[in-house]
Amino acid sequence: MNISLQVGYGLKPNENALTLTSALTQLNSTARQIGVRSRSGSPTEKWPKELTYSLEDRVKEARLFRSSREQIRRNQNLNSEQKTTLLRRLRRESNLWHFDQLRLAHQAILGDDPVRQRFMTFWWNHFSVGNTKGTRFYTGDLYWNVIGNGIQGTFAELLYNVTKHPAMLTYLDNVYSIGENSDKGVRAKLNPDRRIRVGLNDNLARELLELHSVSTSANYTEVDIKNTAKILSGWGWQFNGERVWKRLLKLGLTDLSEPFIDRHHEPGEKIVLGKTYSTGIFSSGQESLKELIEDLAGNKHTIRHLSKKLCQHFINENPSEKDVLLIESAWHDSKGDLRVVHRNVLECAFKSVNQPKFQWPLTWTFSILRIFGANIFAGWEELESDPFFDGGGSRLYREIGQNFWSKRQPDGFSLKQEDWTSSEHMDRRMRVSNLVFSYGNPEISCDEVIGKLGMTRKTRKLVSRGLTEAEKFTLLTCSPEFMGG
Amino acid sequence: MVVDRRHFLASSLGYLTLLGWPRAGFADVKSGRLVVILLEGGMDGLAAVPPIGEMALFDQRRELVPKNLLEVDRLFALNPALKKFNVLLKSGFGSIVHATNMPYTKRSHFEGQNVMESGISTPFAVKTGWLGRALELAGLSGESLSLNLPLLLRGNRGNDTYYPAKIKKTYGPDPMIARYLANARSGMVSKNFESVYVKENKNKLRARRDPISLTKHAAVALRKVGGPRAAVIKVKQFDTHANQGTDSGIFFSRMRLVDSIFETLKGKLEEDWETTIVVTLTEFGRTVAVNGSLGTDHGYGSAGLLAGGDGFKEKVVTDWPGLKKTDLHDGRDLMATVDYRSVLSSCLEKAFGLPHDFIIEKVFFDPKISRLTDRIFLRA
Repeated sequence: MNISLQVGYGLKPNENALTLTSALTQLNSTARQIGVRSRSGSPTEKWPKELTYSLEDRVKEARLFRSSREQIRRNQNLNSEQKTTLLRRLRRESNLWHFDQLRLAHQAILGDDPVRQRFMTFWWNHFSVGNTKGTRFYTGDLYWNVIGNGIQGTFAELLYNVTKHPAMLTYLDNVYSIGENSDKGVRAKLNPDRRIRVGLNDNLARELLELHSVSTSANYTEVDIKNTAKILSGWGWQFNGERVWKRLLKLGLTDLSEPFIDRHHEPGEKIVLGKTYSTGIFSSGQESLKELIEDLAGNKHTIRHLSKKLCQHFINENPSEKDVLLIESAWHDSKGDLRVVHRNVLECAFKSVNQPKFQWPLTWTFSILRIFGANIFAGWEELESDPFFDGGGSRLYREIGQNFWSKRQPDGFSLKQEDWTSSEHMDRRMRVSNLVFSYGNPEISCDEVIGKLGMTRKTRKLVSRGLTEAEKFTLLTCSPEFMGG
Repeated sequence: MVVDRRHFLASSLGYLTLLGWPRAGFADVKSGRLVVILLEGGMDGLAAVPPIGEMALFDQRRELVPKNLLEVDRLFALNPALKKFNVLLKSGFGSIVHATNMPYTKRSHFEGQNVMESGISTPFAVKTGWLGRALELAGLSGESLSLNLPLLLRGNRGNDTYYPAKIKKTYGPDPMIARYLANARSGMVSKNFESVYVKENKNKLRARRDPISLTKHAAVALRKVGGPRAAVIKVKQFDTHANQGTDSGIFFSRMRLVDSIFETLKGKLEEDWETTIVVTLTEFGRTVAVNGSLGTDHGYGSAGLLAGGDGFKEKVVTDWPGLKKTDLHDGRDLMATVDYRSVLSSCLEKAFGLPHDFIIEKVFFDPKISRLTDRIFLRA
């Protein structure tokens, strides 16, 4: 398998072969964001500024959506049919995240940094945020800003910034978590008849330990989870709830990147994995999250868990102990500097190309389009009239079973081949391949691609069984060497 | 990792001694059918079947007890979403197993989901599922109505998936090309390309893919001679940490979907409903107490719903542990007094005619699982 398929999205028709040096350059560059206005024939341009959103823009849009929806639902002059129509239109028009989806595809197919994007996608999957409770408005920010910048820093910083991001705090319900002995909790106890709801919600705490950092191999207990939840209490507010929002403005809380409310925070000592984190008289408890996350990020179980996961994604589904140890020691030596860790992963990957590594359907789809100079995604100016997929590719992502903006579970998409090779999955691969050939306007032929990527004799033989270029196209893109596995 | 029969053999010592089992004979017997409804996220058994006879229920989660409950007996009531299921229950064609769970107490979704599908109490210990193994032993096959094959059905070469494609401007793949691609590989991927070839040649029925349409498809497939004898349908989003709801809301709407699945199966299976068993399965129940956001966190004991045309002995099968603080697991969760693997092995016994001892040893690898068949089914 060509290394550009294993750690990138393949090579564009005019792109030179991927070397370790060029891969490292891509990894550490901040490449320009590009895209096309329309699907056919329009030149590659800079991705428009008005379609890149700050966190503030996103929260504004989410609030607008939420309040308009309330207005429609509460409007007594409308019958239920009219309401449904209006709600459907509102949903179509609040389409900020459709542009996020589109931008992802354009950058993968046309961008100059496929290697960097592959690492970004890895972390995005590691820190999965499903589309529930309005998170779709913020996930783009998590991807482009937090993870995009985060892969140039340490894992501790990345973990901290992801954990306190509105998308994560909302998705895993931390926005509802209020300490029972916090100011608000005490007030609730003093006024039982006012029925103020307080209490911890341990959803984020549990996944922070199990999925994002140490994993179950650290043998933490329910008490560790509960104490982590206490440390996390007070982080986050209901970013699109208008009533809460107004009260917060009154309290002067407007910094979206530090969404900590100290009157919701559980005070006192909290012991997690044997270490005590305390809230002193002069501290609000806000710092203890950073402290905890630094400890979790440096924990040997975290390092083991993530080194293995990186190897599984980029090198081999069942990585050798040698490779995992190598990444682990790079992690220890650099104190979790992701640039160093990723460089070591790339070095290992370049040494391991003999074994075709099975690729996710999404990676595979982007690779076909990039390699053949084809495109089936809408341009940013024609989102509404997209001939194939509504909403910037939603339908395609859904069809191939890999929609990052779906109601998915927090453990992310599987890294195992066996979860992606059912007969229905294979059916989708063949359909997508055919779609790209028929409607994507491939720039170059199968023979050119075979030559360029240096495909094996076995693959050449397989492709030669096709009688037409269309048949060859499917045979090549679904071949073991192209698809992996 | 390729899942194949050899792998299963490796993981079940002693199977070789039973190779003389009359497999062909099994396939000839007019076998029953088993439909498993996976409730993903941890279904709150106390919201589906609230024990209203317990005062502690109201002390701990008054906000989560629905108003318009359907009464079952002096201790239990049904969630108002389960209207159709209630009809089955009243007429003796449905049953509830309460205070039950797979033998897993650690409250992780992903370990819990692995345990409920693999049927082994150690998470991630095997690469096959209990239903896949059971079907393999019975010489039958099953179908999952999803894009990928769930762990539950793995371990059987005949098992397949079905999920209608919805990509505009595409047609079914060329069967010949699928065959070439199958030949270019070995193992599972090859088998699945081969299956694309077979399906395309058969010109599969076009179907919509909302859960009810898929259930209808399942019923049609299950009725076919030589078709699959088991089906798996997944209903997601039972992880109700916040704003769980009572007489409406997220839990209610998920449960209503489950209710329609029961109803649809009963209606569409026609006379084959007689020999069908439908059973729900979830990774764990949820905390007894309501949390700070009108939801519940991960717990232990839950409830299972069963239905089938051959009738059940009791409306509720339970060794009820109680809801007092001292009765709870870790002081917070409903205790599981029935190992759900007992329920599942009874369903397998009833549906496929495999003997209990054989099932617990060869499917669940645990000879200590007790037999509940007589307690659950009218005619064991």
